Amino acid sequence: MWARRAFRAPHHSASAAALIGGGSPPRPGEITLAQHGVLFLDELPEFQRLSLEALREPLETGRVHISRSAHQAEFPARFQLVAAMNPCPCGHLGNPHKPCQCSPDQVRRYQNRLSGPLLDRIDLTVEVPVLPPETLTGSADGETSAVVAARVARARQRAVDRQGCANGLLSAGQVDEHLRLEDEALALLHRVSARLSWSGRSFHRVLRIARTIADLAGSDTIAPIHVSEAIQWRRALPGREA
Amino acid sequence: MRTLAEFLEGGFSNIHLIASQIYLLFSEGARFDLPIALGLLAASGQIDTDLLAHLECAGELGLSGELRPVKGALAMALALRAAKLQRELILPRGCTEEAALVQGLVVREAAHLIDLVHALQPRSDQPLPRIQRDPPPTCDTTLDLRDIKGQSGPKRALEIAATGGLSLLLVGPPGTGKSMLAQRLPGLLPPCPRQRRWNPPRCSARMGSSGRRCGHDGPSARRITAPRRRP
Repeated sequence: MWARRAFRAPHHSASAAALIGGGSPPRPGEITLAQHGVLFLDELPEFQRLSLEALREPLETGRVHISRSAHQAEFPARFQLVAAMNPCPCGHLGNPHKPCQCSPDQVRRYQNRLSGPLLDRIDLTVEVPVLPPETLTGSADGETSAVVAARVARARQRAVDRQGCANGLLSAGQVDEHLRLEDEALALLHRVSARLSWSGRSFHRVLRIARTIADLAGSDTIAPIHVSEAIQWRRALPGREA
Repeated sequence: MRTLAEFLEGGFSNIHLIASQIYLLFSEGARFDLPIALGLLAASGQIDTDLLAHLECAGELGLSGELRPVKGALAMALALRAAKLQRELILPRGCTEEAALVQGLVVREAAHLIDLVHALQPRSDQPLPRIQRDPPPTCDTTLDLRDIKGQSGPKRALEIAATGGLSLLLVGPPGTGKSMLAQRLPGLLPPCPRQRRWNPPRCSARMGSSGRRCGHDGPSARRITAPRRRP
């Protein structure tokens, strides 16, 4: 029954207290209700600034502290975040089929609603482009969820057998311990890290992604090809400097 | 409390009177109404104290003695099972369903304080009904990754995120399928490990959404809640 994971999708008008937890006495919020499940935040820049910044602690530690004058509380908040957003106010920045109507300043102000530290804590960023009409009207020929889920389960089990948990739950120190990074892969990482001026947090997040890609490929070690792909998933927002 | 005791010493055994007094005295922590009432009845000799020893209970008392559901029934049931006390759990109608989901526990339902008092009389022929619920079958999600055409890149990102339990940000113009992709992530995840299954429902039950969760679609249907849609 509740073997299925929770999927919480609060609207962006939800208060910070509803999202993070709050009230007096403090009560758990959406992030706690999504424990071991998925928290989907659609229209991410539309959420209150306070709420977004308050996500930083649980995204890093899996727990949230709530302080009120009369009460303190600590709730678990080990959720998997999925967020969606338009790249700019009109939504069409980078769209080859429709020009963007926004000035560079408008784009910058919109994207700045998401602070650097918050974006730094999101593992993968992926662009979802507009598809040509012939793809949309064609028949569905992709893999089913069941097929993909089977692959996911096998790869996840490899990680659990190796280190007792999924890769996303590894702390920075634990990542180093369980990596099995090939020398060339490490050299590649150092080169890219220097060129893009990655923070230590970014470096470890790329390692987690590379380790996951290697698990999906059935590889015991992390090869340069896994690192190359992992780096692709840590891109900046369209129109924003890396 | 002193007033109540005096009532009882004066020989007032009227259930409604006791209930109304408790209601007025204890407006906070309403779930303790029922245990307090039972304690008072036992102290005044109207029910056998020994029979109380093998049960746990919670419930809010209305003015006329009717029992009202309380929040946190699921959490209570889980705690009782973990404590291995071999006691039955008595709860008001309206919150027994979620407590009954906990296997290995006897959960009984009482609609009125008088029902419970009758059930607790020696050689009673009116036991409280036991509420049992089998774990509902896991239902298959109707959302499939195949519903989304193309988008091999985002689908790959979704697969990586699902495998590692990693966070994901989808960026793109309106209508490209970002929400559809996100909604299909749970279908890619393996079932929650057994020892972690109870945490989110326990939090929900404590917060009082238990009534909603035990509605007809039940906890086994993974709902996507979006309370307000943008116009």
